[in-house]
Amino acid sequence: MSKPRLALFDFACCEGCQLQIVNMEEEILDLISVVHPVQWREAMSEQSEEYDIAVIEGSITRPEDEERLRRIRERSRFLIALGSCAATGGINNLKNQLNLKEAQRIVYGDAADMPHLDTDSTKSVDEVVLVDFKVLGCPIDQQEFAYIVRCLVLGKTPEIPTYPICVECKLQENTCRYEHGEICLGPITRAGCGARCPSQATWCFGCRGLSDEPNVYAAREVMDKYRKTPSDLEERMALFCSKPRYDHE
Amino acid sequence: MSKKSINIQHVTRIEGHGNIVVNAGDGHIEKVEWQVPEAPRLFEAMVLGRSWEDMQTIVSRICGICSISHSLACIKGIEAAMGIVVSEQTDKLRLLAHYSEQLQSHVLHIGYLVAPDLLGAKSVVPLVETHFDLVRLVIKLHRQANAWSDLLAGRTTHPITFKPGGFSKVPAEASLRDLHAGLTNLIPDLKTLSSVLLSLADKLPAFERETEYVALRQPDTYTFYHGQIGSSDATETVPLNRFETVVNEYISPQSTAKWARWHRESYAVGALARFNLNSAYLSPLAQEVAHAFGLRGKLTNPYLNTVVQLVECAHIVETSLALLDSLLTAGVQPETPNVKPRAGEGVGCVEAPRGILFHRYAFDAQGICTAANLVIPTNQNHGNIQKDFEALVPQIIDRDEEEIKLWLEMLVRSYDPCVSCSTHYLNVEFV
Amino acid sequence: MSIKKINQESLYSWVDSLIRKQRVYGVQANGERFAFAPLTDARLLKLDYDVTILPPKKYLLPQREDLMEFHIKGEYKSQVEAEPFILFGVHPYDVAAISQMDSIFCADNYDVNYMSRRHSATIVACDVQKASPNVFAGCLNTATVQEGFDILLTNIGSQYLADARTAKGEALLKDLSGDTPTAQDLEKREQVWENNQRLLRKHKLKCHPDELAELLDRSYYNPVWEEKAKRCFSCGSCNLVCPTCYCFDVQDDLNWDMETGKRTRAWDGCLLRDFAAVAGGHNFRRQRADRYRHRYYRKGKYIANKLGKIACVGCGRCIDNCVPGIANPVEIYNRLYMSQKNIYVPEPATLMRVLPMTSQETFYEVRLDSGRELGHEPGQFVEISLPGMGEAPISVSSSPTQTGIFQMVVRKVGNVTTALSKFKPGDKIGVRGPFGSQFPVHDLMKGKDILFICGGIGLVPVRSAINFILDNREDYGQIIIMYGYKSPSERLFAKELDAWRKVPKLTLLETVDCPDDTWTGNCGVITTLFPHIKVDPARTSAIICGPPLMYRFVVAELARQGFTDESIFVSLERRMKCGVGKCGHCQINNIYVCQKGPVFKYADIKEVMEAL
Repeated sequence: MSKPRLALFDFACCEGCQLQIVNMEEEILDLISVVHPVQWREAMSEQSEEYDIAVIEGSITRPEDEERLRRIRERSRFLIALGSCAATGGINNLKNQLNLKEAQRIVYGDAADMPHLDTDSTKSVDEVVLVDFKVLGCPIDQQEFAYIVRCLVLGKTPEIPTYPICVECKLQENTCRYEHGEICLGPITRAGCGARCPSQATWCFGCRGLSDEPNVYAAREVMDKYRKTPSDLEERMALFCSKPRYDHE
Repeated sequence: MSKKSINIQHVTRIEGHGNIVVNAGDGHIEKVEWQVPEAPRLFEAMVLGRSWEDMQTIVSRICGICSISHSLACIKGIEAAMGIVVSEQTDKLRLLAHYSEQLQSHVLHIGYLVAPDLLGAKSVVPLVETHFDLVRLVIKLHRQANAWSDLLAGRTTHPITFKPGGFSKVPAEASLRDLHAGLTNLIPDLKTLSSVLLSLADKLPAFERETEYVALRQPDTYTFYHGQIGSSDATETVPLNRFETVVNEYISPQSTAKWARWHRESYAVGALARFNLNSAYLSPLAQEVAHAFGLRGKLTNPYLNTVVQLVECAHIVETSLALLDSLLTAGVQPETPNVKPRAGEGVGCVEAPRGILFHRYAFDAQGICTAANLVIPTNQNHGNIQKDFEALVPQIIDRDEEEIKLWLEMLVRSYDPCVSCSTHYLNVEFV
Repeated sequence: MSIKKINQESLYSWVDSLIRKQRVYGVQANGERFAFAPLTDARLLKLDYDVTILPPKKYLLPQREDLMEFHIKGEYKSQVEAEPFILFGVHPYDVAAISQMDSIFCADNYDVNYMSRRHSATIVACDVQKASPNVFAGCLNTATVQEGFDILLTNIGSQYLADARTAKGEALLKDLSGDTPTAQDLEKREQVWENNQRLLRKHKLKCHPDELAELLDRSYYNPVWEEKAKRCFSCGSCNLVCPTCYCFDVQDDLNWDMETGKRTRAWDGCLLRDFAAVAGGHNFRRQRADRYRHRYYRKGKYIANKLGKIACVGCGRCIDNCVPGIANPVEIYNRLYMSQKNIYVPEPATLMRVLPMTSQETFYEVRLDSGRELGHEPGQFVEISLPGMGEAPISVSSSPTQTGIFQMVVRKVGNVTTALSKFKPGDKIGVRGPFGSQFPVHDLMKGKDILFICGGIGLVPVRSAINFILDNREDYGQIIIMYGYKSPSERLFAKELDAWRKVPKLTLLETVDCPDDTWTGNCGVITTLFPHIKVDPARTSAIICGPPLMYRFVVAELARQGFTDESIFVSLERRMKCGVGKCGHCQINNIYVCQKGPVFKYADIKEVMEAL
């Protein structure tokens, strides 16, 4: 069996998720023993339009990007959304809460009307094309990415946690951030990162998006107990949890 | 001369998207253009109305490669706005975290992005077969730099531990001792990398163009983190809160990123600028590396930026060892920041690996952001890249297309641009 | 088997010698809380911990363990771990939990992965020295244990007793230099055990644990499941921190060679959404309430039926770690218990002691005939029933730390109380309750200085709080008690008051309205005592209980002193007929005093018409 060919494409994002692949260090050698990278602009000058697996990084924010994405989908057997920007829209969703013309004026001033500065609202990749697998997180977890790639090559659906971060946080024996008077999104955010932020003594800001059937009602209810308000919770959820869905099947 | 049409859409092995467009024919050059068509992300608007507590989390997402620099500039900006003073320990730990990112980013740039050009390869992938020892060396340096960031920032990309007023969690002394040992081990590796790069130095194009160089300056220090704004065209430094008078941003029709100019039409930031302003204060090992490459006085070949990054790697490792010694002598105390928001406006500034970075914020009494202005190093370099092209293309227009393409791409790469920060893109087009 | 008496230093050098020989996992500080972790230095041990975040089960059933290595061609290689180690400082309730896990993994299908690790373990138990905020081991008979460990350490003051109960323990103890304990030392240990059984009851179970299985049998449709589950995050925290939860998931992962790999098992939790989901998508416990209920059934019924003991040891970790605060098993089981009963029917009780205190007031000590604890908190009341006479609400005067009985002091003013004043020890009465709110000894008052201001019979309920605080002395700061009464002959609890005067960091000030010839103390209303005290209002909670007239003056004085309305607590008297928030007699505005009161935060009722 020949190795599946993998191509990586970046859209609107910080490219930190591809960097996590570079950060696999020696393990990249293992990765390229399983898949054959044929296009990866940030790391390679080689380019091929023949590939089996397309990895998409970043959110879709312009009509021409949607076109490009559809062409990629047509050419690929599998499509992976890499990182929160691609999988859920990520931090770029904040843009959707703005009046775009107004926002462009804030950033570009009087030049905002120049046509090349146009941008649409943020879309996650699955709002444009069919996505086979999502690698969540801002940035992604290298081990989870590696696991998903191995599953894909093996022909198995990866088992990504459907439960909230609290599970992993308890396993790390962290003190609950609510005991420190912080609003932590751990109880409604999908696990899989090993409770990275609470383990560094700060709140989870929900970069992996909401868990399956998150109890947002309970999260709002609980604010009173910790002397916060539901709008405090919503402010924090606006960063990464404004799109309440993720279907991993 | 035949008509040349070179069109490089999305220059590779750089962070973000950029195009190079050159139209040349019949003995004259019609158009030489550096274009930045990266998708606009509008961070300065996205932070408005957000809480000071979430600010660092949002703006670190501007760039995956220099997220630590963005976070630190943000935190320093918040602290300046709210009159927050941090402990000496916090200051040292942040500097240490900042150094880790410089090393991480420089090694990535030298080893993964530039080395293939010098070795005639398209990427690091074929080098695994042909130059395995070099690849292994680069991986080792990169891994150590990342482990270092992990320890201080909680992770290498998008730091977790940085908070206005201090750290959510400080590293254990035992881990800092391990780091000290790890960094000590890197010194021979840096020497090896230096000799490998020295043997390839003649592959760097000889091209000189003097320009204005802008970087942080701090007395008697090769600074990345403290100080005021300095320029090769000025004797006086400018206080950080007047950075807008330095960058003079404007919008170019070629770019979704903003451009900048100060005393001249353009200026350069980054390792080369830092070197030109502060090389007298490099550490002994860094001086040694600089000497080996014959780097002296004002450097005006932009392709040397990569070499200066290597010099900086030596400086960073050596300086960090001293910093670790002083931290360990004093002992690391657990400190939990206890900060209340207040209204104010302030500027935070650091040298990102690819040049000076400015963040300005204004907050209301509840700590809600009411204004932001973020000026990224690559924005400041865009104009200078354009001027370099205009000077370089006539000198090489008679060479064959592949070589021209390579030289232009290598020029862009040498600036180590971070286009997604500045917003994102690269392309070369000869028509 | 031997017992040795050792001091702190020889304990340290013994532990250090153990560390050199074996892996030792001991309790250490983990941020503000505690955790079992590999021990490198005896001085890092924190044997005076309250509770660890995760129970020590993590070393017997690791969070993740390899069951086997495999090759995709179909070869399996079993992985079983068996390196000896010591678990140091295990609390009795966790010992009880480990014993229960042993029965589970040993029974039916012998789990060699667990059992080989279990056999490799030496357990050094340690009696609890500081009660955790939510421990209720005392209600489940796990506050102390006599088996299931190899060595038991007990702090008897400045020294420890180390008691080896197995050959393994005996072997370890060989290296420990110590004295033979005296009879007095052993008596001190008995006292520690007795205290712990009494004190490790931050929540009180109203029924006997053995009744739970049957109780649950009748509670499947109780509305409590839906009500609580609405606020459940399905985060599994209660599962993960539970010392008796052992469910796991099994998963495969391939290595990069895409041929070899591992099958591992990892902790799972029945509260998690997909715990009972099958391939194809059907979920057998689809609703949050299904999963929430399942946990209580499993703990209280399924395991109880299998092992004869419920799967709860009262460590309180599930309560500690539940963000929305819905995981308190005692609260749930008590709710179920109460909802099975006709709430208006009293339960029989017997007067154990009857002592006249003043001409009007009599002291009673009562035992419930069922043998169960009353399960009250300081500040709560009961309805005392005399058939034919009726019922009367009476404050409980004893501290919940006093087990087996409860006490009250009754002034004869009506039909019931006058009849009661003629009762003798051995006479039967009826009891309903406890009812109402409590002085916030578990939260708001904790860590604070406390100022008690009592007028006359107001001392009766306050005495419950005072004695509770004295039994948990390290949780509170200075205590000042102001006690005013009409005349010296009406002084209640005379002996006890004299004893309190000798307690460190406790100031008792008394005043009378009408002195007699013998009186040498302060005269005048209770506010005349204020010039004699010094308090820092910022770190003090004030508790007021007395005749209605007193409140206005005392509150005004406290405000002058700088107390905020948030730091003042008052106990109100109303006609509380049913005690269960139905009959309406005690209602003030929208508040039922028998439910939301009798203890109120002043800030909460200040603006309520008719309250004061």
